[in-house]
Amino acid sequence: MALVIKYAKYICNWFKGIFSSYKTKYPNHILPSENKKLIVSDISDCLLIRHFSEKSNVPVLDGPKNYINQAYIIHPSSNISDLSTNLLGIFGYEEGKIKIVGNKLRYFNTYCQPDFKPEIPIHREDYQIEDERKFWHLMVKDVESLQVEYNSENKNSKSFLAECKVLHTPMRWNYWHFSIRWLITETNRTPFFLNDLPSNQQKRYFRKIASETRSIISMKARVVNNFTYRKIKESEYLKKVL
Amino acid sequence: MAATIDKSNISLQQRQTASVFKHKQRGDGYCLALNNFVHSTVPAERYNHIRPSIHQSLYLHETKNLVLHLNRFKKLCELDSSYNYENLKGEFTKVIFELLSLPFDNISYSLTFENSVFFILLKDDFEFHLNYFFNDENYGFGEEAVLITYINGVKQPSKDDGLDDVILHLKSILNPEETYTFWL
Repeated sequence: MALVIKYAKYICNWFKGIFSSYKTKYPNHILPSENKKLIVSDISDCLLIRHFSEKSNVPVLDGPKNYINQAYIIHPSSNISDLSTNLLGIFGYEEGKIKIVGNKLRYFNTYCQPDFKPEIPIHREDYQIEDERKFWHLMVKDVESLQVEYNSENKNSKSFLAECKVLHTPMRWNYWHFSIRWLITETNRTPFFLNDLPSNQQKRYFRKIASETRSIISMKARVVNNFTYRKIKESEYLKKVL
Repeated sequence: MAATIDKSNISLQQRQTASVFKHKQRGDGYCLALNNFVHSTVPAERYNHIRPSIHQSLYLHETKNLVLHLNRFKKLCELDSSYNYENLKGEFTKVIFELLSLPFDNISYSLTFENSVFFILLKDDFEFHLNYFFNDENYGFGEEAVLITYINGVKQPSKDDGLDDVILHLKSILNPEETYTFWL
């Protein structure tokens, strides 16, 4: 009997070892690489995900329509004018649990070319796994090309037209990073992306864009993935399909 | 003590009621209710010392609702250290008082990370998202409200202004025929 227990423990530890090494090995398929190109095809039927961490006292769903609580739509450290999301498909929920940390945080969290060859992040040193993370989902077509117009009579405010764009913006740690940005058009001025402005110049647009972003995400995003969406094809992101 | 009708008080009470109406705008949900009750159905002011008047009942109802919302706001502030309930309750009261005076089916709200309260207001086919930004003098921002409107889920033009103007705009959408602006 003791021998059986001893062998059972041995097998159990062996499985644990395999599992932990699987979890701690960085998923190289999400890194930018030589054979990858910028995704410029129509991805309106694709699905974006964004992670959040549930707080014990704040319910995820709120109100009679069960919208996602505003506390989880945009995290305090996030930039509303350049909201980070990931394209679901090759990038899955396990990859979404990766949190970049450590001295190379700035290095990995930098935008790059899709064919850039970055360093491979090392577990615990450069990244950790946050298993408690949850995700909300948003169809690209629900936000892409959304236009909002503000005609303001207030001197401190501005009249402008803003168009929502979903752009492929690879990062050194994640090729599948996509940004939700706002293209602003004003009279007598070349259209510009809000995130390109210095932060003190974003003030005049900030509250309106923050409200629109929160509104559309609360209306369209869902925690449960019951969307019908397509996964991206190799020809859309690889230079040469093998 | 037996209940009696104190007729000497009637004219005084009528004057008081009239002064209440002066402070109400047409298009305000409670104004309509008061008109219906006072002019046609229940002569409540004559029995003011026996039972609370309709006005008092409505006032009590309004106050209870207000207290409920203030308590909820307090709880939300306790969960987020960047919000100070004592500093913000005045501004919040102003907003929720205006919203409670409108006939919404449901009012829900949560705090954002941009020093604002995000309200979701439902009325029949209408859905309003009102993001009320608190006065933030440290960053040079004044009070501001952004109203985003959906009718049957279809987005309508948005409105950004001070709270008073946004509420007036809200009233004009909810009740386009009964909203007047008085210039004194």
